[in-house]
Amino acid sequence: MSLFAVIGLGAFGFNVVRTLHDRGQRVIAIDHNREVVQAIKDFAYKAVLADATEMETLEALELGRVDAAIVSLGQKIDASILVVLHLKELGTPTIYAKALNEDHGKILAKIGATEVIHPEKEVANRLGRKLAARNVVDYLPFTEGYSIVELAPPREFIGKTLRELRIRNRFGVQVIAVKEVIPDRVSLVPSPEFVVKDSDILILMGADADLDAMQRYVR
Amino acid sequence: MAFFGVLGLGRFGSNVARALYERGEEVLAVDRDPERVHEIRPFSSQALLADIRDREALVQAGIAEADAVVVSVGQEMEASILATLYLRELGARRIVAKAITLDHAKVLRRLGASEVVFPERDMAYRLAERLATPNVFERFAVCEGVSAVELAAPAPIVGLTLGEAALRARYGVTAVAIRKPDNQVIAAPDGSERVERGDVLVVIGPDDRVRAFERL
Repeated sequence: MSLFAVIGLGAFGFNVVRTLHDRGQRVIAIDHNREVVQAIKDFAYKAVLADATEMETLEALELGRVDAAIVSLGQKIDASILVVLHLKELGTPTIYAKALNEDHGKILAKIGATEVIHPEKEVANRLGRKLAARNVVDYLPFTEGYSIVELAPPREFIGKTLRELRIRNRFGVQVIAVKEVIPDRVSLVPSPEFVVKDSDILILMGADADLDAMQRYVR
Repeated sequence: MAFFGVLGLGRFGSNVARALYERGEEVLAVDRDPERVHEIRPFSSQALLADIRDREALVQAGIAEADAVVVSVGQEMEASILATLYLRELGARRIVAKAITLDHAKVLRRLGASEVVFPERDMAYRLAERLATPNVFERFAVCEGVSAVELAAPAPIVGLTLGEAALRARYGVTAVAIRKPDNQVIAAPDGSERVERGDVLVVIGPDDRVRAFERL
């Protein structure tokens, strides 16, 4: 089990604490708003009401010894810069910092944030890609160029088994699951004998180029 | 090519507009700030200076024809609520709205937004999941109750072939791809494929089984 510190409990910081707690991790949560600190109490190993821009506060909490600190000070650019600087001086091994804009991000990286997070920009880019690709469920960013997509089967697929359709041979993509409506269930890695129904949704994984080609073919 | 509307060009909206435009889509970008409209011009098919609370302006822009409309008015909750309402009334097919608080998200959903994004919260989940399970690089909900994860090959199966590892029988998950350290991807690997140190696996399975597999 690791120990984390989350400094600043806005929508971002608060949800980081809650999720870490749900995953069985210990978190020191810090904010200068009494109400927020009260609200996080049940989810934090320690909930601290304090001004994190004070070096003494961070030192007293021994934040140099946590596994990672997350700096998420909403709209306060100068405060987040100071906190990252202090953490760096205290020797915090890993620091994630949330940036409000590009320049803020550059400064945070320069003073030593391990990773800078741009929620608006990253979620926007993901949404853009998803909308442009229509049926895409999600991308596999660590297996670059591969995606998972949903596909309503074209008429020629209906009533045939996956073996007969030879989807992997013909299109180079694999059927990793089938969402069935009748009955309402998901068949994971369906067998070659699975018969495709009109109401099914095929969930496919493959290289983007192959998935694109297949989607064009069935349209 | 599909047609998209992006209403509100703050950090979020301008990035969505750009991401769509760069993928060859038609993008109508709207904001009431002349500077923002000017800046999006090179990255949109049409940049329109208008107040999105102005129903008539939305009608004239032909926004109801869009395949999807993204409502991304920064901090103005009222504007995003009104725009979502108007879009619904005008028959927009798909509305993706950005929320800034949980209550805001609820209101948007009630009004008929097809999807609500909440960047601060969505990124928070992602980061926390990564911190709690450092061997897991990415997690996806394939559909209700089923997830796929990209993860570093767990130690107990390193050195085994997939056949020997018997992932399905033992752990209830299926490996759908392996990425080798040289970035070569083996999709739909068969039983003879050997898992080596440094491999990244993509596995799919029921949520609880996938979670158990991550902790091996």
